[in-house]
Amino acid sequence: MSHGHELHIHQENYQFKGKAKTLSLALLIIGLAFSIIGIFTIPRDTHHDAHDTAAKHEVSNHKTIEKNIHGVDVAHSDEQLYPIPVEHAKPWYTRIYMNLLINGYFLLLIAVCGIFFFALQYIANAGWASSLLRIPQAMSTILPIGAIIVLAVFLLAGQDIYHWVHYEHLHLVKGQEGYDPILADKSWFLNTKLILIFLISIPLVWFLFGKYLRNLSIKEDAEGGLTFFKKSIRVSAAFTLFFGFSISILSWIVTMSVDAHWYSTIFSIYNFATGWVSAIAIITLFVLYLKRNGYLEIVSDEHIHDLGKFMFAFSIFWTYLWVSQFLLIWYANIPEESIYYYKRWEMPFKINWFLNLGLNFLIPFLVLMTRNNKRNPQILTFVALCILVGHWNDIYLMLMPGAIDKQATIGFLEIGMPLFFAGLFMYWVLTALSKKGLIPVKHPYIQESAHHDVGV
Amino acid sequence: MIDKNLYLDRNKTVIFGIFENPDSFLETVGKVHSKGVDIIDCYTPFPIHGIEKAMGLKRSLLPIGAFISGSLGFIGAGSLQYYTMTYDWPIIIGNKPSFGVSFVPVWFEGTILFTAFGLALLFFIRNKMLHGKMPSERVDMRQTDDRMVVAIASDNPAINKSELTDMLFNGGAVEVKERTNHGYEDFTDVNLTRNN
Repeated sequence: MSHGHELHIHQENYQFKGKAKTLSLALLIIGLAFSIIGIFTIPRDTHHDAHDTAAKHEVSNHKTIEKNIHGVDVAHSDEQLYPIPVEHAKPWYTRIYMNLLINGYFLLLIAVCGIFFFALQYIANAGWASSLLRIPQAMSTILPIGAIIVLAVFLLAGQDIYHWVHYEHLHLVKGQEGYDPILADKSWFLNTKLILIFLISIPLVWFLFGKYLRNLSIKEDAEGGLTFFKKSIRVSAAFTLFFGFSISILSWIVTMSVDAHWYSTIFSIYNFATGWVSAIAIITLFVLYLKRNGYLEIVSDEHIHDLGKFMFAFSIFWTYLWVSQFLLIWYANIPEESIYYYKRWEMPFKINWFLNLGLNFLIPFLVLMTRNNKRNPQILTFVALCILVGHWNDIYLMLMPGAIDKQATIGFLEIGMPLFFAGLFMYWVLTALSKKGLIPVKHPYIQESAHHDVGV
Repeated sequence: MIDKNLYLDRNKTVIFGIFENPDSFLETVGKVHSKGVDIIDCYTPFPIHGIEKAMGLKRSLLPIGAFISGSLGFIGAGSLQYYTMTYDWPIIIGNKPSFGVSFVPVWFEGTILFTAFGLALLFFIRNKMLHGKMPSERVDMRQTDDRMVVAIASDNPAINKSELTDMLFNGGAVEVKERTNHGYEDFTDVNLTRNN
């Protein structure tokens, strides 16, 4: 046992080359090729005035949805509070923007949860993860890409994706045909100006926090001492406070407002859970990759076991939130609410619906239950990949039905775009990792991390 | 394997090494174990990381117990619901199917309840702390405060008594005792000293 002995911590410099570089570039190229094939194979609009027709009939009181999940007739209900939007065709290119939005939002969530990961270690005074802090720090550097994509999609295709944006441009007043009291009530929040302020300022503040914390940690490597650590704790506390509120706002405006008539109070934490468990899966993948290539000498099976526990626990946490949201709406069966799940229980989303449960709950829950599986690199890699695919699918299921509904299919574009972003993510994060030392050698808890032991 | 029930075994001699420093305690326990000496138990006022490995404890079977009791809870809650709500007297509430998603919370709660109770019960059984069991005796008055105690059987084939005593003293023991049990709360202690 090495207790009581101080280990000498070597700095390691990761070099981004070889298989990882080839793989990331291959993913980039294959993803791009698939995306281009996908873009050319999207069925074009059959009639040229799809957009105009859509505008005219956007909110006409057409009875397309006649029965809810249990076959209760809702179309002839007299208590219809707002006109049900007609299922009209969106312009063909909306699907491209939707794919960009899904992947950009996923990237943004993972990057900010990377910041949250190391901020959490600071405020919880936790030492076990201090030897692998550089990985979430490198993940946080990709945040601007995700933020810019989400912002660009909102600016370029906001009208097609978010029907409240379209409604805002109609400038309807009370009494006019197509006036929507619910959207009018929400317009103090759901208006383009406020949303743009949030979409720009929130990721910017996150990025600045992440950059500042990362710089503190890198400066600590050179100078040592406790000043950087103490400062990091205070900054992390401020970040966490801001993060809690801002991720809620971001999830409302990016994902929930796709179905602007509908709302769920648990939605933002459910979004957070999606990003958080994905970020932990990615940290695990990076740790396993670096270990296999002989880096991260002081990271042992114990750390990997803990990451496995995190993946297991937060998969259950995600499922808990997911079930809580679904169960209440399913049980109450109020048409305004259950329409959200009604859409997702129909083809083409029914497959994704069950895939969601299988990949995000059943596989992590059943596979990671035993201790030995949590310490097995192959099994952990498999489960981490399942979690990543599953949570991409989760975001797909959050966004697609509300925005383009029946036009959504899993095609070349839906496979190519995530591959492209996975390649980009790998390339970007590994480049960021290679630029700075891999171990925070002068972190005050680095010895604790080197001696980390989870018990039997 | 040595019988762990050392307090009730008549005429059995046990050597206790009493330590003040957790690091040297852990190291010495590891050294003694690696000589092939069976360690009966360790008593520490606070958890010491790595002590299980150092004294050669096997992995606890408690997780398997947790899995079994959780499964029992899941099956129990599910079958109770199925029998009462679906099979025996189907009740339709709010136009919901009589067997469906609304059962999930009870499965969840049943699993957790049974796991928690099952684990608590198994813990008490495993540690012989069920109702009516005799409490353990203290070896040293300060073992619940700032001293750590290791218990080793004195008739060890791997090592003789004087070697063991020296090993404990060299490892940083402040006291080494030999205790012979005659029955419950009936024993004689001999303080051992360093031989060389």
